[in-house]
Amino acid sequence: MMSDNPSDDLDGLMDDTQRDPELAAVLAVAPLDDLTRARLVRTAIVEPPDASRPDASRTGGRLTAALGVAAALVIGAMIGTLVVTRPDDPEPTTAARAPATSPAPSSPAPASPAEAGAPAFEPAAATLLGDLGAVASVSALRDAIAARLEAADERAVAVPGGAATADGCVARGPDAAGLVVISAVGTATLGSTPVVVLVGPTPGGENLAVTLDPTSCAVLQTVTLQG
Amino acid sequence: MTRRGVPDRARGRAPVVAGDDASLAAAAAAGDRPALETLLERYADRVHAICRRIVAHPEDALDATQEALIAIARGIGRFDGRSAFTTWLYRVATNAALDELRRRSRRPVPWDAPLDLASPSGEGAVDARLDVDRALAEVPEEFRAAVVLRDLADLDYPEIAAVLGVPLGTVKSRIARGRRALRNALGNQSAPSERRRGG
Repeated sequence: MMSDNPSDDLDGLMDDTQRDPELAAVLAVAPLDDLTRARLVRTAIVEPPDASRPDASRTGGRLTAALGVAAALVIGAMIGTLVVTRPDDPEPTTAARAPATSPAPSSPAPASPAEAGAPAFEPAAATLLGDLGAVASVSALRDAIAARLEAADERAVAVPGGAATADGCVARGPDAAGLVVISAVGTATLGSTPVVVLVGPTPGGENLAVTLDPTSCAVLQTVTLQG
Repeated sequence: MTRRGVPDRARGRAPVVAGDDASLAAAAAAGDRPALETLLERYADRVHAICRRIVAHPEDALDATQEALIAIARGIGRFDGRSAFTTWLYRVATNAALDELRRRSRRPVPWDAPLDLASPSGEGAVDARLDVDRALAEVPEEFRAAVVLRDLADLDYPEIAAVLGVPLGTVKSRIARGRRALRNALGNQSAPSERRRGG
């Protein structure tokens, strides 16, 4: 390991304060394509808690902040009361990820695609990823999806559980998630947030996993997958 | 490319909201969503460039870029304007990239993991990307970040000190050592400084 001590003998290299054009050329990075950039920005913009309103500390909104914490606690308690346990599954799952007694992929979900004016999407060909569990980051989510897809391929069966709750979002069709087709469906808890996970290609050819709010089906994040 | 040496796609493209960084940041901090979106659009490529070279892996870099943009969107309300917006932005981007490196170090990922052939295009041949990524991976991350901020982002030394939160002397040391390590890792294909000195 090299020393980080500036007093070390650097053979005069510390005089080299100018930008190194050759290294600059080596390190140059091409711009993002428009789709990727738009996706990254859109995801960042979606419901940023602090950016959609003035900073509480500067507006004297300590009461507002306290009310926000209280509201979060109440919501957390409500979610806690909805925790259910499957008889055949030792791990508890939240209602947002609770399995349905009949996945019935051909049954339109109650999330009313008709209300949105969109045709119901029939996820007959989608792989059921099931509940991917708690993941700490999008990287971990990507790994979990890859592992589950691989397992599904090996066993040639869908992994049960979780996807039933995703039906509402699945029924809205791939367009709502920015996908051409939904190739896999599951649920997960990303950080502390229950999410629906839809996997599929984008119009630009990327293979994406899209996380959505289980209730509103709003897109929360997108994760680039390999292949 | 811009003066900063990283892509600036704002040129030739009408922004959603016109304005300098400071006024846009102030508006965004006050809850102006179009202003925030304009800032993110304006700097997404720069954030990605920083992350791409510090992380030295295309997909992980996209994750880091996403985390950085989210952090900017969520933290803009706390940006007080005492430093330049870009200094704050580069700090967020650098921290996101370093965080991604730490996350990666905690999970088993073979270095020969498949390259992301479909991601940001135009970076040249796959082999060249692999060479640069592997060379960067041999440079200690704190040195790598300093070199990336200097030679890619074209920040001056005081700016880098502010971004990294280290003294100026440490910045100089890290850049010097990082450049030397990167050149060595690139296989002694070029030694720009030595040539400039006539060595």
